[in-house]
Amino acid sequence: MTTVATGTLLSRMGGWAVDARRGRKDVCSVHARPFSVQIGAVPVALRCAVEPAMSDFRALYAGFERPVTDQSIDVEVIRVRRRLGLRPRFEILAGGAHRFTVWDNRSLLPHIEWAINWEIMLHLPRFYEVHAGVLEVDGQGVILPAAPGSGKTTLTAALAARGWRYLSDEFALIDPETLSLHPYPKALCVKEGSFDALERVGLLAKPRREYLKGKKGKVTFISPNGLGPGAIGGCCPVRHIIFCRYEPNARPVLTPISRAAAVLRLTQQSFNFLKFRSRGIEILAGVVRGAQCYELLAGPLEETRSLVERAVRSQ
Amino acid sequence: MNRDNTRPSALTGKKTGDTCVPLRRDDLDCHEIDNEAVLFDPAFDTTARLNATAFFIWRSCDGRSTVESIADKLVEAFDVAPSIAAHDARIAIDDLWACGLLTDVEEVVT
Repeated sequence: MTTVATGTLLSRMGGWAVDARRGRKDVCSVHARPFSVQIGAVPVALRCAVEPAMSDFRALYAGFERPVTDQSIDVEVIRVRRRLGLRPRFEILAGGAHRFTVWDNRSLLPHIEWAINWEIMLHLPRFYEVHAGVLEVDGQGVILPAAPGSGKTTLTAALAARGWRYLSDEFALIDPETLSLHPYPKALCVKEGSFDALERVGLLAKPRREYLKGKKGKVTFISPNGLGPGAIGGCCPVRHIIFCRYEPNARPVLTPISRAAAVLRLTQQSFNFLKFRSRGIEILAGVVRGAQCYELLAGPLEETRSLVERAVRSQ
Repeated sequence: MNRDNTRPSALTGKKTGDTCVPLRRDDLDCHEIDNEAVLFDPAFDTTARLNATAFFIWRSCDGRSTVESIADKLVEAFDVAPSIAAHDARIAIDDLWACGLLTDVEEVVT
């Protein structure tokens, strides 16, 4: 195999090359010029020559284009061609490190998004990060911290469809100095179980492009642009913290919890608590002091959404 | 009282008698929020939340007060019956000990 250059060098240059980093069976890979976007507080540069993943990514973030900066999260997809008769595989690198190997083109976009999220967790030093859906209504920040599979994205999307401004379905980015929320309005990643519910609230339509996200199964994406004009929120203070837990067919219940209990639960949903440690608790204590804190048992989407709307608007 | 994880070494099953003199750890970072507290243990990177009663009891564990006298303080502060206060103080101190939030629980020998 002839070695032309390493992937990192080539990714800066763009174009075709033989990739030297893989095994002997790998024959050729493709490197691409970056598509660079600013997703709220997060700059991202994606290098991907694989279609339709690249055009789908461009469509999701149309209007977010910004020049690459030193701070950009650098994600690269390398298509590795293999011996005749074998399917190509796709290597996803982020910040120069290998993150995923994907064998199916339909898995590519969810894993690109996943790699970006991973980089935010590891390398976005500016913020205290909580795993949460985040919205803003009447200038008040609402965060919905939850474990995966708790209905966080579905509820976030449903509230956005009611005119709440969208900040993120994955990260509450908290400025440690001002304690305000910063937007990261990534494309909303919706699992198959929520397709019908979000069709009913008018956010998903058929036909739509569906993808595969490993054990999470079939997913689709809602572009932040698809939420409508002016749907993306800006920096705002946290005024409501609602910890979500989903039970199918449960009657939705919203229960107030103490601020100290909220702080403990926020530490459990934090991505970078160990970076901040005691200072992290100080930050969260500052955040909850200005907020009402609840635990939400979420059930059917319409009822749950109405309950949350009533609670937040009544404050 | 709840905690995000527990130190296995702290799970001794030690039971607290009325004459014990518990002492809280002074190396924990204590963040008071609305009469409750979140404690951070820098040695183990763990956090614990104490509700108002547990926080009051933990603060009262000064290495001089017996469990009995802590229960008396509880009666005054929270306006509860002495029997309930004595029971709650014992349970809370057992929990605080199990969660590694006390440094010592000495039995006073008279």
